[in-house]
Amino acid sequence: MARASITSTPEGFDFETADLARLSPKIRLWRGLKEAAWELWRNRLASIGAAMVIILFLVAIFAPVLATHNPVKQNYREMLQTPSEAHYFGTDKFGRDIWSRTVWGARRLVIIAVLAVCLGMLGGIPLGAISGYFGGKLDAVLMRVVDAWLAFPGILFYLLAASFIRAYELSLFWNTVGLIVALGAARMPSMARLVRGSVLAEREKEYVEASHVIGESHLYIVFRQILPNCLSPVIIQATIALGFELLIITSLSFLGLGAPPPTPDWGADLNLAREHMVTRPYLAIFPGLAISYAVLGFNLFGDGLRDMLDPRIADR
Amino acid sequence: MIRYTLYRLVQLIPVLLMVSVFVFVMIYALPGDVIDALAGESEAQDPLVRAALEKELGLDKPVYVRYFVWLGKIVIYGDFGKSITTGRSIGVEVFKRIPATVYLAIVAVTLSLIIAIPMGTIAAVRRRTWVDYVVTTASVTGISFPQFWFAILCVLFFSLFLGWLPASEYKSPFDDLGLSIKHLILPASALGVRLAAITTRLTRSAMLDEIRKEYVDTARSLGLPERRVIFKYTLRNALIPTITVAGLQFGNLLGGTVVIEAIFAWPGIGLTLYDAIVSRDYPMVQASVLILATAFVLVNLLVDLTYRLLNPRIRLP
Repeated sequence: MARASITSTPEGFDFETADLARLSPKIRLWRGLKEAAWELWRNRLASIGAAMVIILFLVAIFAPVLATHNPVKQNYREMLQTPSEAHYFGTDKFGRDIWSRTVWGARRLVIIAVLAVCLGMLGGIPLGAISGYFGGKLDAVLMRVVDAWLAFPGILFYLLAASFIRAYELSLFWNTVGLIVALGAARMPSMARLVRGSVLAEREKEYVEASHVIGESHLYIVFRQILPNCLSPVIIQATIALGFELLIITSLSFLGLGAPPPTPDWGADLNLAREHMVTRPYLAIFPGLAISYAVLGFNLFGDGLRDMLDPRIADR
Repeated sequence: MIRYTLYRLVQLIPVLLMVSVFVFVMIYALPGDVIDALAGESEAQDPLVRAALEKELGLDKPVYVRYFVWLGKIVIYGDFGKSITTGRSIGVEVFKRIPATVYLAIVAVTLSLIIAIPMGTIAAVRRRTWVDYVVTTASVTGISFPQFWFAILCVLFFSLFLGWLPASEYKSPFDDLGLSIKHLILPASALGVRLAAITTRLTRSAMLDEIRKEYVDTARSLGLPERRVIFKYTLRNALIPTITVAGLQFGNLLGGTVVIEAIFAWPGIGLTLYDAIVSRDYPMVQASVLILATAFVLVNLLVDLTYRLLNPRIRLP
């Protein structure tokens, strides 16, 4: 039976994929990316998500060009103006231009979210990889720590961190660094567990055994050979995590526990808008739309990536 | 099952210990001096007063002793210390706030399940039709909406624009049920919408998994009406994973209450935590975080145990 399955071609066998395996890694990566791009194009929702994310990043990059006013400059002659040609999104009670604040807020929030997720991956991936690869007591201990870490509800951790940062009355820069470290630290355990799961499955494969026979070092095998095959779930997770971090950051600043004013921040602007909800409802609309837009973009893009990179759970 | 329950309860101990150490160390590392806060600035200058206060509060002892004293008081006497701002016992203050949060959370979860399970089922049964597209798009949007923005929009529309519902305040259901529910609708919906979106997705994917199984084909080939196949067999099986994950989300809901309670001035434990953070009442922060984290861990355990009861296929270790 086993012989038959080797000699006869199974139905739907993909020769192109099989060929890919023999190509050099660089070409493989390139072909893979091309495939990925095509699939992405095919999945409409995912491409909408991708477009939304790209636009968000462009806005973040070109914030100085797009902003029409200084986002933190108060102008009491133009308080609480309705949206107009001069102020696309109107102005708040300090006469600050909401459009400019939204644009600069995008830059700040995107930077924080990206750095936080990167930090989470930087800590979580090696932890998970080493834990999964070496197994045994090290794995047991590390996973207990990860379990306990995950058992602590995230939002409480963020609130504690935020009040901790607040108590030190740090400057805006160190405040932001503190926030990134807190978000990144909270991201690590879930990343570690994700990578560990993939590494556990991967280390039993023949190519790993072959590398052992050749005499490659453990570290080389883990990081250069196993890990690249375990990255798809991490990429999916990271994309969705970006949206989640945005929600957390804006929630904290909405509660007044984020960056000190007058830093442009969507959550803080929404909080400010609550005072003028009856007379100036649009103040509560634009920052909220901005948050929803960004998070929706990351979620759609992440879902699309999942369909693409993880065919087992496609169509869910 | 009893053995497993005990095993899991024992497993909780290190987790809770870690949480308590974490909370203690974090607050311990904060800048500022408790004595300065307690005694006025001028009195605190006097070294004799300081020493007396230090001795009274046990601050002259090493950190680990203080940790064990703090923890011991909580575990043995339920004594969380005194609030810095009000001077009253924290334990009493915090436990008084629990019912409001539980009330809010239970209604929010029920509401979300009532919306999510039918939506997810319809989307799965009518897969890849416009119904499915509408439901999946709605659920991904619901997940992306920040809860606090949704809450603000609800207040804007239903209480300020239409004037149907009150925008804040808590009324006890034991005094006037109708009024209490009126006050509950907005916060519960704002809290539940995200959970509803997540549960819809889960129900849909669980249903899709079930519908492909062989017993469904068998039931259909026996000529059973489709309605019966879906509701009597498929949905029942699909509900097991759905309810489990919804239950695990219940813990996260407790966290979400902080934002929602702050917006609606809902006197629950989330608002207590928020007020404590804003007024820098750190013993209060410690206590509420500890209680919320314990509740989170216990709810998760309860859900896990229920799941095992519902699903005998899972092997007990």
